[in-house]
Amino acid sequence: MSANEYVVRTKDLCKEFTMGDTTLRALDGVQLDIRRGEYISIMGPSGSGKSTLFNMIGGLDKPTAGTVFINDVDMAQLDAHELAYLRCRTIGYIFQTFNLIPVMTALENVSLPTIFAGMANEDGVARAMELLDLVGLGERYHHKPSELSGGQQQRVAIARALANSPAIVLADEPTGNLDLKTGKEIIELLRKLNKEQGVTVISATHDLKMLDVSDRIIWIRDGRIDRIEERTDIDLRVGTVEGE
Amino acid sequence: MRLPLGRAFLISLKSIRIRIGRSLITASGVFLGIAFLVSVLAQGLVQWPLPAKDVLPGYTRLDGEFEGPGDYPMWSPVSREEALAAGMPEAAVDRASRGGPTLDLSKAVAEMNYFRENERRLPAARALDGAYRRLPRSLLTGKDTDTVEASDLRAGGLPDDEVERIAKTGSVTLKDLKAAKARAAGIVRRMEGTKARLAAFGTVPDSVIARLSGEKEVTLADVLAAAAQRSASRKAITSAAERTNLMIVNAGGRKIRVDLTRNGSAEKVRMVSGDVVFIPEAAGANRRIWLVVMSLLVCTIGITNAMLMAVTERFREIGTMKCLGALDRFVVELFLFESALLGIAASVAGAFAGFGAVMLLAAATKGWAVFGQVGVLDVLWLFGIGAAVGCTVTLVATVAPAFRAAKLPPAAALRMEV
Repeated sequence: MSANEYVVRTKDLCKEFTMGDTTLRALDGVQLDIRRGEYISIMGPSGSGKSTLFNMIGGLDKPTAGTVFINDVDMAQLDAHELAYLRCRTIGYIFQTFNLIPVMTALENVSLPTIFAGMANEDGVARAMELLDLVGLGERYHHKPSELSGGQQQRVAIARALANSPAIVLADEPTGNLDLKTGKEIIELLRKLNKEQGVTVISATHDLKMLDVSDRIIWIRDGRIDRIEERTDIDLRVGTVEGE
Repeated sequence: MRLPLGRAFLISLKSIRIRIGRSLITASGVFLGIAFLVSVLAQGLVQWPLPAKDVLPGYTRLDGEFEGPGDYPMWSPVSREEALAAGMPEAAVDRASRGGPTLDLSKAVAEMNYFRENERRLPAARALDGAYRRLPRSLLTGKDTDTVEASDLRAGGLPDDEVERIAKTGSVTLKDLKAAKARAAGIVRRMEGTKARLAAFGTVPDSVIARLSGEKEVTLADVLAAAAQRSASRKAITSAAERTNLMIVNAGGRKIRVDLTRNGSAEKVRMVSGDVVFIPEAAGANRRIWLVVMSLLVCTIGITNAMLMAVTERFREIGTMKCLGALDRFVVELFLFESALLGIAASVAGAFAGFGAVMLLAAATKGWAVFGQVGVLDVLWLFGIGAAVGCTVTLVATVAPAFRAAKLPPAAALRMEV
């Protein structure tokens, strides 16, 4: 297999949080390989460590031990500039709470990463409009986040995550704050982008609707990988959960 | 990967506009602090140019007898040798210089005038005293409440005008009569005393005084030094004067303000005979310094608190920015821009408000003339101080939390709940 086949690899990943006297081990030796173009769901109950794993993979936090490789580059070796460069161009982030900049319009939110990437203003705006069209919000580009519904805000966030054509989109509970129907639309949108644009999607979630579209599901329990399931294994058991 | 400054500027401007309520609260912290500071500083400004009589409260008139609040003649120093050379008798020089190397000519003139007035009035005072002494003994015996008729006093030989003075109603109580007698004796005693002490001045020719007291230039330093010689507290006054502003009121009514802290030393200021120097009272100067320090502290703490809150409540935004690939520097720059804009606007507005309030208050109590007497440069200086303090404090108060926020790993910034 070529070295480039795996876009994300983790090795013996550990993370400890110290709160007062007690040390909490949120991740305990996680070993993970994610192929280019895969749609991965990280599943697990609250407190299982999936958000921590998400933060590690996204370079948003530093592991206590172990390493994360993005495109075969050890993240621990990167300086602040290189890390910012990586976050800017290689990874797109989607959050449960959307985290749009409240003072900016949808268009400005989506074009913000292009500014950080050094793109010319007109190019950035054109790219942002294109992405807003893609997520179905082309008409509402001039609205502030507060003037959009939860589902629409998450669409803006997805468009923003894609602004610099990243290789990986990391989504932390992207449907956590949305109702069933909107959540399903968002999942389908992510799946569509994964299929059409070949973006690797890694999503931490406990939304069972995600199972349906994932290539692989990684179950986390107490900071360890409990099991990894292929899509084909679970198709039989899940059936359909739509229509609520 | 550098963000254009223009873009950062626009983003921060927009950020202020959107969060206008929060920004106004932050800005009002800066505004109030600077208004307070400038109003304290402006107090000094409106006091200075007022007419001398209005300046006196809180200020000491520095002249021959500057310790009293009195209206003494201008201190015009002459050296002993000069006075002797001009023909002033040695006894008079000794008397006026009190054994020191210089003498206060104006003081000498005043004492000489007093002496001459004394000479003129002494015979009348003696005559009155004599008349009281010659009053018949029968008129002065009895109880305090007994009354004496005016006609009896006239018959006893008391001059008509004195009788008129003490017995307006046609009679006087025995107690009052005795008091009037003692007063007449006292006046004579005092006049004879001063005559003995001031007799030396009787020999000073007018021409000598005129020659010595002509246009004589001295430096302010001379005045201060001579003043400092006279008592221990004068040292404190001199040093207070060196630290603060001084005002010279010229004989013609022209007012010159000398700020020693800015114009260098007192040596440069030349004075002529007749100029009057006002210096702030030491206690007043200390009170002002105390007020300025306190207002600085209050505005620093107020601004720091407002800016700290403004930054910490936006940790999530900072985390998001970093996830999108913003460099630490950009985050800090963004907050600096925003707080600089707020700081400048609020400081200038605060300076206007503080200055305006003081001026309006001064105008209401002392008349509109105060506006004409405030120098443009002084006002600019005041505004400069206000804006500089406001911006510095705002920036310092922003940099620390913004820098801390930018250094955090994005996950920690996103987790932070405020």
